[in-house]
Amino acid sequence: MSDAPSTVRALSCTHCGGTISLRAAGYTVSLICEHCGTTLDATDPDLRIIAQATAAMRVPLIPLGTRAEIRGTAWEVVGYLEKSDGGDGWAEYLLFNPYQGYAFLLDDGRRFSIGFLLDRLPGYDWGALQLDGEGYKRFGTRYATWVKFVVGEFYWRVAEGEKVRVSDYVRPGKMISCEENDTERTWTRLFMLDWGEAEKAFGIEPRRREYSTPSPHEPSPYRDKMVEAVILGAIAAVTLLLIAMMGGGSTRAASAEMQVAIGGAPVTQVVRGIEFPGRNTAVRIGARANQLDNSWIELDYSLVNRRTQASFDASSVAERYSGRDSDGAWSEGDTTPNIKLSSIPPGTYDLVVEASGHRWAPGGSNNSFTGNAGIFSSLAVENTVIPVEIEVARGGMFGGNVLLGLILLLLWPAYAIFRHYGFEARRLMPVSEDDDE
Amino acid sequence: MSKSSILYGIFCLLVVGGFTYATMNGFSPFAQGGTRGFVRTAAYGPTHK
Repeated sequence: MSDAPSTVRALSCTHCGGTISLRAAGYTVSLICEHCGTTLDATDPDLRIIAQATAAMRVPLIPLGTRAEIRGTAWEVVGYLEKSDGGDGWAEYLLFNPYQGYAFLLDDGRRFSIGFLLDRLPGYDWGALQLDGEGYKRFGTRYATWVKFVVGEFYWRVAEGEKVRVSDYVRPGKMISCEENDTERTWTRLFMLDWGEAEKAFGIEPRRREYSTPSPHEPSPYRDKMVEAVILGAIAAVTLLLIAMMGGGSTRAASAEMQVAIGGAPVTQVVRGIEFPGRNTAVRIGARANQLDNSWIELDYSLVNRRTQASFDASSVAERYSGRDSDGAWSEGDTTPNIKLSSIPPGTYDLVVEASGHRWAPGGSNNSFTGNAGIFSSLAVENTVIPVEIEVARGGMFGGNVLLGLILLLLWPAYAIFRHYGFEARRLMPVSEDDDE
Repeated sequence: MSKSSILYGIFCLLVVGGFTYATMNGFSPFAQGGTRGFVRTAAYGPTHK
Protein backbone atom coordinates (compact mmCIF):
# COMPACT_ATOMS: atom_id res chain seq x y z
CA MET A 1 0.00 0.00 0.00
CA SER A 2 2.68 2.50 0.93
CA ASP A 3 4.41 2.70 -2.43
CA ALA A 4 1.41 2.96 -4.70
CA PRO A 5 0.87 6.39 -6.28
CA SER A 6 -2.52 8.08 -6.24
CA THR A 7 -4.34 7.76 -9.51
CA VAL A 8 -7.78 9.16 -10.22
CA ARG A 9 -9.79 7.21 -12.75
CA ALA A 10 -13.01 8.57 -14.24
CA LEU A 11 -15.77 5.97 -14.42
CA SER A 12 -19.44 5.97 -15.34
CA CYS A 13 -22.03 4.90 -12.84
CA THR A 14 -23.64 1.67 -13.97
CA HIS A 15 -26.98 2.89 -12.69
CA CYS A 16 -27.28 6.60 -13.59
CA GLY A 17 -24.43 7.06 -16.04
CA GLY A 18 -22.95 9.95 -14.11
CA THR A 19 -19.22 10.42 -14.04
CA ILE A 20 -17.61 9.25 -10.85
CA SER A 21 -13.99 9.30 -9.75
CA LEU A 22 -12.03 6.38 -8.42
CA ARG A 23 -9.29 7.97 -6.36
CA ALA A 24 -7.77 5.00 -4.57
CA ALA A 25 -7.79 2.52 -7.39
CA GLY A 26 -6.47 -0.83 -6.30
CA TYR A 27 -7.58 -0.33 -2.66
CA THR A 28 -11.22 0.65 -3.05
CA VAL A 29 -13.74 -2.14 -2.64
CA SER A 30 -17.01 -0.19 -2.57
CA LEU A 31 -17.78 2.83 -4.69
CA ILE A 32 -20.90 4.85 -3.95
CA CYS A 33 -22.03 7.10 -6.79
CA GLU A 34 -22.15 10.70 -5.66
CA HIS A 35 -25.00 11.41 -8.10
CA CYS A 36 -27.47 8.62 -7.40
CA GLY A 37 -26.06 6.93 -4.30
CA THR A 38 -25.87 3.50 -5.90
CA THR A 39 -23.24 1.24 -4.34
CA LEU A 40 -20.95 -0.26 -6.96
CA ASP A 41 -18.43 -3.07 -6.73
CA ALA A 42 -15.12 -1.35 -7.44
CA THR A 43 -13.35 -4.70 -7.73
CA ASP A 44 -15.55 -5.63 -10.71
CA PRO A 45 -14.41 -4.17 -14.06
CA ASP A 46 -18.08 -3.76 -14.97
CA LEU A 47 -18.86 -1.90 -11.71
CA ARG A 48 -21.55 -4.33 -10.66
CA ILE A 49 -24.35 -2.76 -8.67
CA ILE A 50 -24.29 -3.94 -5.08
CA ALA A 51 -27.16 -1.88 -3.69
CA GLN A 52 -29.51 0.86 -4.75
CA ALA A 53 -29.59 4.09 -2.82
CA THR A 54 -32.17 4.28 -0.06
CA ALA A 55 -31.40 7.73 1.33
CA ALA A 56 -31.69 11.07 -0.39
CA MET A 57 -28.37 12.38 -1.68
CA ARG A 58 -26.57 14.91 0.45
CA VAL A 59 -23.47 16.96 -0.19
CA PRO A 60 -20.80 16.57 2.50
CA LEU A 61 -19.53 19.71 4.21
CA ILE A 62 -16.10 18.81 2.84
CA PRO A 63 -16.60 17.73 -0.79
CA LEU A 64 -15.14 14.47 -2.02
CA GLY A 65 -11.79 15.00 -3.67
CA THR A 66 -10.80 17.87 -1.38
CA ARG A 67 -7.14 17.75 -0.51
CA ALA A 68 -5.59 19.14 2.64
CA GLU A 69 -2.48 18.84 4.72
CA ILE A 70 -3.04 17.90 8.31
CA ARG A 71 -0.09 17.77 10.69
CA GLY A 72 2.41 17.34 7.88
CA THR A 73 0.56 14.74 5.80
CA ALA A 74 -1.40 15.45 2.64
CA TRP A 75 -4.82 13.76 2.58
CA GLU A 76 -7.59 13.51 0.03
CA VAL A 77 -11.22 13.00 0.96
CA VAL A 78 -12.39 9.84 -0.79
CA GLY A 79 -15.44 8.80 1.23
CA TYR A 80 -18.10 10.20 3.50
CA LEU A 81 -20.27 8.46 6.09
CA GLU A 82 -22.96 9.63 8.43
CA LYS A 83 -23.41 7.50 11.51
CA SER A 84 -25.81 7.44 14.40
CA ASP A 85 -26.13 5.79 17.77
CA GLY A 86 -29.68 6.99 18.20
CA GLY A 87 -28.65 10.53 19.12
CA ASP A 88 -27.61 13.41 16.93
CA GLY A 89 -25.05 11.34 15.06
CA TRP A 90 -21.75 12.37 13.52
CA ALA A 91 -19.91 12.39 10.21
CA GLU A 92 -16.84 10.46 9.19
CA TYR A 93 -14.66 11.31 6.20
CA LEU A 94 -12.40 8.65 4.80
CA LEU A 95 -9.05 10.22 3.93
CA PHE A 96 -6.49 8.64 1.64
CA ASN A 97 -2.81 9.16 1.08
CA PRO A 98 -1.06 6.75 -1.27
CA TYR A 99 1.97 6.55 1.03
CA GLN A 100 0.24 6.66 4.41
CA GLY A 101 -2.90 4.69 3.62
CA TYR A 102 -6.24 5.63 5.16
CA ALA A 103 -7.31 7.89 7.96
CA PHE A 104 -10.67 9.00 9.32
CA LEU A 105 -11.72 12.57 9.92
CA LEU A 106 -14.50 12.61 12.50
CA ASP A 107 -16.82 15.57 12.77
CA ASP A 108 -19.08 15.53 15.83
CA GLY A 109 -20.62 18.86 14.90
CA ARG A 110 -18.34 20.82 17.23
CA ARG A 111 -14.83 19.59 16.68
CA PHE A 112 -12.81 17.43 14.34
CA SER A 113 -10.64 14.44 15.21
CA ILE A 114 -8.35 12.46 12.98
CA GLY A 115 -8.22 8.70 13.47
CA PHE A 116 -5.88 5.93 12.39
CA LEU A 117 -6.44 2.20 12.49
CA LEU A 118 -4.23 0.48 15.04
CA ASP A 119 -2.00 -2.30 13.79
CA ARG A 120 -1.57 -3.73 17.30
CA LEU A 121 -3.75 -4.50 20.25
CA PRO A 122 -3.71 -2.12 23.21
CA GLY A 123 -3.03 -3.58 26.64
CA TYR A 124 -5.21 -3.38 29.73
CA ASP A 125 -3.79 -2.53 33.10
CA TRP A 126 -4.62 -0.46 36.18
CA GLY A 127 -8.26 -0.41 35.16
CA ALA A 128 -7.52 1.34 31.88
CA LEU A 129 -6.52 0.58 28.32
CA GLN A 130 -2.80 1.08 27.79
CA LEU A 131 -1.17 2.20 24.57
CA ASP A 132 2.28 3.74 24.10
CA GLY A 133 2.58 4.25 27.83
CA GLU A 134 -0.68 6.15 28.11
CA GLY A 135 -3.83 5.08 29.91
CA TYR A 136 -7.31 5.43 28.42
CA LYS A 137 -10.37 5.36 30.68
CA ARG A 138 -13.48 3.55 29.61
CA PHE A 139 -16.14 5.97 28.49
CA GLY A 140 -19.73 4.86 28.92
CA THR A 141 -20.87 1.43 27.86
CA ARG A 142 -20.70 -0.43 24.59
CA TYR A 143 -23.24 0.97 22.15
CA ALA A 144 -24.54 0.18 18.68
CA THR A 145 -24.02 2.46 15.71
CA TRP A 146 -25.24 2.23 12.16
CA VAL A 147 -24.54 3.96 8.86
CA LYS A 148 -27.24 6.47 7.92
CA PHE A 149 -25.72 7.77 4.72
CA VAL A 150 -22.68 6.97 2.64
CA VAL A 151 -21.06 8.30 -0.50
CA GLY A 152 -17.63 7.93 -2.10
CA GLU A 153 -15.25 5.00 -2.09
CA PHE A 154 -14.22 2.69 0.71
CA TYR A 155 -11.81 -0.11 1.32
CA TRP A 156 -14.53 -2.26 2.81
CA ARG A 157 -18.01 -3.17 1.71
CA VAL A 158 -19.93 -0.39 3.35
CA ALA A 159 -23.66 0.08 3.00
CA GLU A 160 -26.40 2.12 4.61
CA GLY A 161 -27.67 0.38 7.71
CA GLU A 162 -24.36 -1.35 8.40
CA LYS A 163 -24.15 -1.87 12.15
CA VAL A 164 -21.24 -2.19 14.52
CA ARG A 165 -20.88 -2.20 18.30
CA VAL A 166 -18.52 0.44 19.66
CA SER A 167 -16.56 0.78 22.89
CA ASP A 168 -14.71 4.01 23.59
CA TYR A 169 -11.70 4.67 25.81
CA VAL A 170 -10.62 8.24 26.36
CA ARG A 171 -7.95 10.50 27.71
CA PRO A 172 -7.69 14.25 27.16
CA GLY A 173 -6.99 14.81 23.48
CA LYS A 174 -7.17 11.15 22.42
CA MET A 175 -9.62 8.30 22.11
CA ILE A 176 -9.33 4.63 21.28
CA SER A 177 -12.46 3.29 19.67
CA CYS A 178 -13.12 -0.43 19.30
CA GLU A 179 -15.64 -1.39 16.60
CA GLU A 180 -16.98 -4.92 16.47
CA ASN A 181 -19.33 -6.85 14.29
CA ASP A 182 -19.91 -10.58 13.95
CA THR A 183 -16.75 -11.18 11.96
CA GLU A 184 -14.11 -8.68 13.04
CA ARG A 185 -12.95 -6.19 15.61
CA THR A 186 -10.99 -3.06 14.70
CA TRP A 187 -9.23 -0.53 16.91
CA THR A 188 -8.87 3.10 15.94
CA ARG A 189 -6.96 5.82 17.75
CA LEU A 190 -8.34 9.33 17.37
CA PHE A 191 -6.47 12.57 17.96
CA MET A 192 -8.57 15.65 18.56
CA LEU A 193 -7.52 18.49 16.26
CA ASP A 194 -7.13 22.02 17.55
CA TRP A 195 -9.96 24.49 17.12
CA GLY A 196 -9.96 25.65 13.49
CA GLU A 197 -7.22 23.26 12.40
CA ALA A 198 -9.38 21.10 10.13
CA GLU A 199 -11.47 24.07 9.03
CA LYS A 200 -8.36 25.93 7.91
CA ALA A 201 -6.89 22.85 6.19
CA PHE A 202 -10.06 22.03 4.27
CA GLY A 203 -11.12 25.62 3.66
CA ILE A 204 -14.41 25.56 5.51
CA GLU A 205 -15.98 28.03 7.90
CA PRO A 206 -14.31 28.03 11.34
CA ARG A 207 -16.52 27.04 14.22
CA ARG A 208 -17.25 29.06 17.31
CA ARG A 209 -15.54 27.85 20.43
CA GLU A 210 -17.90 26.67 23.13
CA TYR A 211 -17.42 24.17 25.92
CA SER A 212 -20.89 23.47 27.27
CA THR A 213 -21.03 19.92 25.88
CA PRO A 214 -17.44 18.72 25.48
CA SER A 215 -16.49 15.62 23.56
CA PRO A 216 -15.39 12.72 25.76
CA HIS A 217 -11.77 13.06 24.64
CA GLU A 218 -11.69 16.84 24.56
CA PRO A 219 -8.76 18.33 26.50
CA SER A 220 -9.78 20.83 29.13
CA PRO A 221 -9.19 24.39 27.93
CA TYR A 222 -8.93 25.43 31.57
CA ARG A 223 -6.19 23.05 32.68
CA ASP A 224 -3.18 25.21 31.80
CA LYS A 225 -4.80 28.30 33.31
CA MET A 226 -5.60 26.32 36.46
CA VAL A 227 -2.00 25.11 36.82
CA GLU A 228 -0.65 28.62 36.29
CA ALA A 229 -3.18 30.10 38.73
CA VAL A 230 -2.40 27.52 41.42
CA ILE A 231 1.37 28.06 41.09
CA LEU A 232 1.07 31.86 41.13
CA GLY A 233 -1.45 31.75 43.99
CA ALA A 234 0.74 29.43 46.07
CA ILE A 235 3.81 31.62 45.59
CA ALA A 236 1.85 34.74 46.49
CA ALA A 237 0.20 33.10 49.53
CA VAL A 238 3.52 31.82 50.89
CA THR A 239 5.06 35.27 50.36
CA LEU A 240 2.17 36.89 52.20
CA LEU A 241 2.49 34.45 55.12
CA LEU A 242 6.24 35.05 55.34
CA ILE A 243 5.65 38.81 55.47
CA ALA A 244 3.00 38.24 58.14
CA MET A 245 5.44 36.17 60.21
CA MET A 246 8.20 38.76 59.89
CA GLY A 247 5.90 41.64 60.78
CA GLY A 248 3.96 39.83 63.48
CA GLY A 249 6.01 40.82 66.56
CA SER A 250 4.86 43.46 69.05
CA THR A 251 6.71 45.52 71.65
CA ARG A 252 5.38 46.43 75.06
CA ALA A 253 5.13 50.21 75.34
CA ALA A 254 3.50 50.82 78.74
CA SER A 255 1.50 49.20 81.50
CA ALA A 256 -0.53 50.26 84.56
CA GLU A 257 -2.89 48.86 87.16
CA MET A 258 -6.17 50.40 88.26
CA GLN A 259 -8.76 49.44 90.86
CA VAL A 260 -12.36 49.21 89.74
CA ALA A 261 -15.23 48.88 92.17
CA ILE A 262 -18.05 46.63 91.01
CA GLY A 263 -21.20 48.68 91.24
CA GLY A 264 -19.18 51.73 92.18
CA ALA A 265 -18.48 55.01 90.41
CA PRO A 266 -16.49 55.00 87.17
CA VAL A 267 -12.75 55.24 87.59
CA THR A 268 -10.42 57.17 85.32
CA GLN A 269 -6.70 56.60 85.03
CA VAL A 270 -4.17 58.12 82.67
CA VAL A 271 -1.14 56.21 81.46
CA ARG A 272 1.31 58.94 80.50
CA GLY A 273 4.20 59.26 78.13
CA ILE A 274 3.72 56.33 75.78
CA GLU A 275 6.27 56.56 72.98
CA PHE A 276 5.58 55.31 69.47
CA PRO A 277 8.75 56.03 67.51
CA GLY A 278 9.33 55.66 63.77
CA ARG A 279 6.42 55.21 61.43
CA ASN A 280 2.70 54.57 61.84
CA THR A 281 2.05 51.50 63.90
CA ALA A 282 -0.66 49.20 65.15
CA VAL A 283 -1.37 49.51 68.86
CA ARG A 284 -2.81 46.81 71.07
CA ILE A 285 -4.43 47.71 74.39
CA GLY A 286 -5.02 44.75 76.63
CA ALA A 287 -6.80 44.47 79.98
CA ARG A 288 -6.58 41.73 82.57
CA ALA A 289 -9.24 41.38 85.30
CA ASN A 290 -8.93 37.80 86.48
CA GLN A 291 -10.93 38.30 89.67
CA LEU A 292 -14.21 39.04 87.91
CA ASP A 293 -17.15 36.84 88.81
CA ASN A 294 -20.64 37.34 87.42
CA SER A 295 -19.72 40.91 86.65
CA TRP A 296 -18.27 42.99 83.90
CA ILE A 297 -16.12 46.05 83.52
CA GLU A 298 -16.63 48.48 80.68
CA LEU A 299 -13.37 49.95 79.50
CA ASP A 300 -13.25 53.09 77.39
CA TYR A 301 -9.88 54.05 75.98
CA SER A 302 -8.72 57.34 74.52
CA LEU A 303 -5.21 57.41 73.14
CA VAL A 304 -4.33 61.10 72.91
CA ASN A 305 -1.39 62.48 70.97
CA ARG A 306 0.32 65.08 73.14
CA ARG A 307 1.42 67.24 70.25
CA THR A 308 -1.66 67.20 68.05
CA GLN A 309 -4.26 66.30 70.69
CA ALA A 310 -5.67 63.82 68.22
CA SER A 311 -7.60 61.18 70.07
CA PHE A 312 -8.06 57.57 69.04
CA ASP A 313 -10.92 55.98 70.90
CA ALA A 314 -11.96 52.40 71.46
CA SER A 315 -13.76 50.34 74.04
CA SER A 316 -13.89 46.80 75.33
CA VAL A 317 -15.49 44.74 78.05
CA ALA A 318 -13.85 42.42 80.55
CA GLU A 319 -16.45 39.96 81.81
CA ARG A 320 -16.96 36.69 83.55
CA TYR A 321 -20.22 34.84 84.19
CA SER A 322 -20.93 31.41 85.60
CA GLY A 323 -23.84 29.44 86.90
CA ARG A 324 -25.58 26.09 86.89
CA ASP A 325 -28.52 24.86 84.93
CA SER A 326 -30.06 21.55 83.93
CA ASP A 327 -26.94 20.71 81.90
CA GLY A 328 -24.65 21.37 84.84
CA ALA A 329 -22.14 24.13 85.55
CA TRP A 330 -21.36 26.70 82.89
CA SER A 331 -19.14 29.72 82.57
CA GLU A 332 -18.30 32.23 79.91
CA GLY A 333 -16.74 35.61 79.32
CA ASP A 334 -13.30 37.00 78.58
CA THR A 335 -11.43 38.56 81.49
CA THR A 336 -8.48 39.58 79.27
CA PRO A 337 -9.95 41.53 76.34
CA ASN A 338 -7.66 43.06 73.75
CA ILE A 339 -8.42 45.77 71.25
CA LYS A 340 -6.26 46.95 68.41
CA LEU A 341 -5.90 50.40 66.96
CA SER A 342 -4.96 50.82 63.34
CA SER A 343 -2.15 52.93 61.96
CA ILE A 344 -1.40 55.20 64.91
CA PRO A 345 1.00 58.00 63.89
CA PRO A 346 4.37 58.19 65.69
CA GLY A 347 4.62 60.45 68.73
CA THR A 348 4.12 60.61 72.46
CA TYR A 349 0.71 59.63 73.75
CA ASP A 350 -1.33 59.52 76.92
CA LEU A 351 -3.82 56.76 77.35
CA VAL A 352 -6.98 57.74 79.22
CA VAL A 353 -8.79 54.71 80.59
CA GLU A 354 -12.27 55.04 82.01
CA ALA A 355 -13.59 51.91 83.69
CA SER A 356 -16.91 51.13 85.34
CA GLY A 357 -17.73 47.84 87.06
CA HIS A 358 -21.18 46.21 86.99
CA ARG A 359 -22.68 43.24 88.71
CA TRP A 360 -24.73 40.78 86.73
CA ALA A 361 -27.75 39.69 88.78
CA PRO A 362 -29.06 36.46 87.31
CA GLY A 363 -31.99 36.34 89.77
CA GLY A 364 -33.19 39.73 88.57
CA SER A 365 -33.44 38.81 84.95
CA ASN A 366 -36.12 36.74 83.36
CA ASN A 367 -34.16 33.55 82.87
CA SER A 368 -33.56 30.21 84.49
CA PHE A 369 -29.96 30.72 85.51
CA THR A 370 -28.86 30.16 89.05
CA GLY A 371 -25.79 32.24 89.69
CA ASN A 372 -23.12 31.41 92.22
CA ALA A 373 -24.04 34.34 94.37
CA GLY A 374 -27.35 34.69 96.14
CA ILE A 375 -28.92 37.97 97.24
CA PHE A 376 -26.85 38.26 100.39
CA SER A 377 -23.60 37.53 98.70
CA SER A 378 -24.68 39.93 95.95
CA LEU A 379 -24.95 42.69 98.51
CA ALA A 380 -21.62 41.63 99.90
CA VAL A 381 -19.85 42.10 96.59
CA GLU A 382 -21.35 45.49 95.81
CA ASN A 383 -18.17 47.10 96.98
CA THR A 384 -15.81 44.47 95.64
CA VAL A 385 -12.78 46.10 94.05
CA ILE A 386 -11.25 44.35 91.12
CA PRO A 387 -7.67 45.07 90.07
CA VAL A 388 -7.36 45.62 86.34
CA GLU A 389 -3.99 45.52 84.58
CA ILE A 390 -3.70 47.62 81.45
CA GLU A 391 -0.98 46.94 78.90
CA VAL A 392 -0.15 48.92 75.75
CA ALA A 393 1.96 47.35 72.97
CA ARG A 394 2.91 48.59 69.52
CA GLY A 395 3.28 46.54 66.36
CA GLY A 396 1.78 43.14 65.74
CA MET A 397 -0.20 41.56 62.97
CA PHE A 398 -3.89 41.84 62.21
CA GLY A 399 -5.30 38.37 61.59
CA GLY A 400 -8.08 39.91 59.52
CA ASN A 401 -5.51 41.35 57.11
CA VAL A 402 -3.90 37.94 56.61
CA LEU A 403 -7.26 36.28 56.09
CA LEU A 404 -8.45 38.96 53.66
CA GLY A 405 -5.19 38.73 51.70
CA LEU A 406 -5.37 34.95 51.44
CA ILE A 407 -9.01 35.05 50.34
CA LEU A 408 -8.23 37.61 47.63
CA LEU A 409 -5.23 35.62 46.42
CA LEU A 410 -7.02 32.28 46.31
CA LEU A 411 -10.25 33.42 44.64
CA TRP A 412 -8.92 33.08 41.11
CA PRO A 413 -7.19 29.68 41.62
CA ALA A 414 -10.37 28.39 43.25
CA TYR A 415 -12.40 29.59 40.27
CA ALA A 416 -9.91 28.06 37.82
CA ILE A 417 -10.03 24.72 39.67
CA PHE A 418 -13.81 24.82 39.70
CA ARG A 419 -13.95 25.50 35.95
CA HIS A 420 -11.44 22.77 35.09
CA TYR A 421 -13.06 20.05 37.15
CA GLY A 422 -16.50 21.18 36.05
CA PHE A 423 -15.37 20.67 32.47
CA GLU A 424 -13.90 17.26 33.30
CA ALA A 425 -17.14 16.24 35.00
CA ARG A 426 -19.14 17.23 31.92
CA ARG A 427 -16.64 15.48 29.64
CA LEU A 428 -16.94 12.19 31.48
CA MET A 429 -20.55 12.53 32.57
CA PRO A 430 -22.06 9.38 31.01
CA VAL A 431 -19.36 7.08 32.39
CA SER A 432 -20.58 3.73 33.63
CA GLU A 433 -18.32 0.99 34.93
CA ASP A 434 -20.97 -1.72 34.51
CA ASP A 435 -19.77 -2.84 31.13
CA ASP A 436 -16.03 -2.89 31.81
CA GLU A 437 -14.25 -5.84 30.30
CA MET B 1 1.59 32.06 30.07
CA SER B 2 -1.95 33.10 29.30
CA LYS B 3 -3.23 36.67 29.44
CA SER B 4 -5.46 35.85 32.40
CA SER B 5 -2.48 34.43 34.31
CA ILE B 6 -0.45 37.56 33.63
CA LEU B 7 -3.32 39.69 34.93
CA TYR B 8 -3.65 37.42 37.94
CA GLY B 9 0.10 37.74 38.58
CA ILE B 10 -0.24 41.52 38.57
CA PHE B 11 -3.21 41.21 40.92
CA CYS B 12 -1.10 39.04 43.26
CA LEU B 13 1.63 41.67 43.29
CA LEU B 14 -0.93 44.32 44.18
CA VAL B 15 -2.41 42.24 47.00
CA VAL B 16 0.97 41.27 48.47
CA GLY B 17 2.19 44.86 48.04
CA GLY B 18 -0.90 46.22 49.73
CA PHE B 19 -0.57 43.72 52.54
CA THR B 20 3.08 44.63 53.01
CA TYR B 21 2.26 48.33 53.10
CA ALA B 22 -0.53 47.72 55.63
CA THR B 23 1.79 45.61 57.77
CA MET B 24 4.52 48.24 57.74
CA ASN B 25 2.05 50.95 58.74
CA GLY B 26 0.04 48.87 61.19
CA PHE B 27 -3.10 49.43 59.16
CA SER B 28 -6.16 47.23 59.18
CA PRO B 29 -9.78 47.82 58.28
CA PHE B 30 -10.63 45.30 60.97
CA ALA B 31 -9.15 47.30 63.88
CA GLN B 32 -11.43 48.31 66.74
CA GLY B 33 -10.14 51.85 66.56
CA GLY B 34 -7.45 54.14 65.24
CA THR B 35 -7.21 55.29 61.67
CA ARG B 36 -10.04 54.01 59.50
CA GLY B 37 -11.03 51.16 61.73
CA PHE B 38 -14.70 50.34 61.30
CA VAL B 39 -15.28 47.19 63.31
CA ARG B 40 -16.49 47.97 66.80
CA THR B 41 -17.82 45.68 69.48
CA ALA B 42 -19.90 46.85 72.42
CA ALA B 43 -21.78 43.90 73.81
CA TYR B 44 -21.77 42.48 77.30
CA GLY B 45 -23.70 39.95 79.34
CA PRO B 46 -23.72 36.17 79.04
CA THR B 47 -24.96 34.51 75.86
CA HIS B 48 -25.46 31.19 77.61
CA LYS B 49 -28.93 29.69 77.03
